[in-house]
Amino acid sequence: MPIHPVVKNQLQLTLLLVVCLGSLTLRSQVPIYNSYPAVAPVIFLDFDGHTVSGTGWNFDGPIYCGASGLDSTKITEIFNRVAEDYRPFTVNVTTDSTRYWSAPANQRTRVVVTVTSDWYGSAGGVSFIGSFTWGDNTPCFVFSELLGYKTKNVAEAVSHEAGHTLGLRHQSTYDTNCVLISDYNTGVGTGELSWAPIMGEGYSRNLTTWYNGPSSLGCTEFQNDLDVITSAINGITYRLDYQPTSFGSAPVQTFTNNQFTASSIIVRNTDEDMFKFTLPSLHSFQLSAIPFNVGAGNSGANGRSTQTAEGQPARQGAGQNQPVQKRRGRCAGSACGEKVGGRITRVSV
Amino acid sequence: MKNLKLAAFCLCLTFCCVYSLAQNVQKRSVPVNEPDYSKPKLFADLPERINFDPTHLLDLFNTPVGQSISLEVTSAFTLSGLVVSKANDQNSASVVLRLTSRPGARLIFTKLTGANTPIKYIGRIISLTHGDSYEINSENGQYYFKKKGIYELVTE
Repeated sequence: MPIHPVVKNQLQLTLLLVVCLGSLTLRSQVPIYNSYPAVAPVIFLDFDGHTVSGTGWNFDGPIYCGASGLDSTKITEIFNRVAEDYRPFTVNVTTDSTRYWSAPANQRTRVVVTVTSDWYGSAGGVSFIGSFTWGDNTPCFVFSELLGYKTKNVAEAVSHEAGHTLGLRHQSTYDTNCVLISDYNTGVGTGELSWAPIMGEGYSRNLTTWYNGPSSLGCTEFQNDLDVITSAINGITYRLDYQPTSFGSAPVQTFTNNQFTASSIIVRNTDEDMFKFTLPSLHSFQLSAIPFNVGAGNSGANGRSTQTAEGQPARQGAGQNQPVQKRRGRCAGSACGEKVGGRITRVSV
Repeated sequence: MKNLKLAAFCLCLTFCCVYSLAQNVQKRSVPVNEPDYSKPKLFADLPERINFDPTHLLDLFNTPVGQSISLEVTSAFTLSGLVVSKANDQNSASVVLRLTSRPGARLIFTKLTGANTPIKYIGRIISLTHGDSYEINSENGQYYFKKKGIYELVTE
């Protein structure tokens, strides 16, 4: 049956409009991720805009925060980076608002990643210290435009600001006379072998970790980030270990085509994960430890993990812990992974 | 022809929308601000701790946004200002009072009403342009404003 030309034109126009609207809608969708959906505490990464009312940020009325301006590929990488920072803990890093609303009111925080910063000023982000437990929906903010929409920068700021809501202060640097040099410990090193504390300033450093060092309270006021995050008030603990720590109960690995692969998560900086295998005859054995790769490649400041198995940045200031201290586990008869102090890293063998 | 123009207009509109949303990837330095520990004090004339009865602040929740209110916290400490923001959910009710009695500062007062927990009040008086602030605490049922440095509460 022939279609009337007017109807045909109208249909074509409608189709065109649907395609146009569809493309815009698809562009603004935020992928849903959860790093640990089985636990109650939540860090919600809010990328699609939010109106803030009735909080300490509302100096002059509601704050209408625009969306982050980040596409789904960048959001995915930012989520992966932040989730990896919080992997040792029983907290669910999520992009799903329903997870936020179903979490206990005093065990959740919303990180608003937004282009809207004029209400505050020029900063990478801002938080209230300890607001995770307040129960009044006070969010913290990360300003994506001011961070150049760079995944590394935004992810660093998200982990940092979320850390503040969990009660963390800055990791700072002082001179030998205890005079404050900078509120932000900017770390050490360049390129692949550079490091800074998450609660310092690590935008230009390849690796960032939780740290135990002098805080903004004073040169003798050490802050162990891990202890603060897992303090009772937050209701967050270390997650259960994934692999046995004794050789006797280590899972037996079986060879396929002369190789096997096993993986785990280093939950604490004292963690030991054991695997065991039997060589059928006298052969050489090659072990390859492959740290978990968070970002899209590990070039310069965009990378994060590969160098952890290779290098050890120098100690910083008066910090007690070596942030990226390598320590080899016992590998006689069993395969062991690299260990990263204060830092979670997946290792494949 | 008319539809062709419309189609072209739609395509142009889509392009403009996408372009306007495009990310600005120009190189710029990341803003990192050192705290200014020399900010002026707003509460220098007030003590470190001010005991109060939170029921004296409950009128805040009945005051609509845009309306002024004056609350006598103690005989020596009155909070006057304009309600600028409110929020409610099943667990909490919050109100923000822009103070005229302490220009630059805001009182944020929240009533927490958990299902199986007694009513609890939290809040703060803050000004980002000043170096001091107050936070509401409670101890053995006694509520009090506790003086704090602004960077003990707010940080970048």
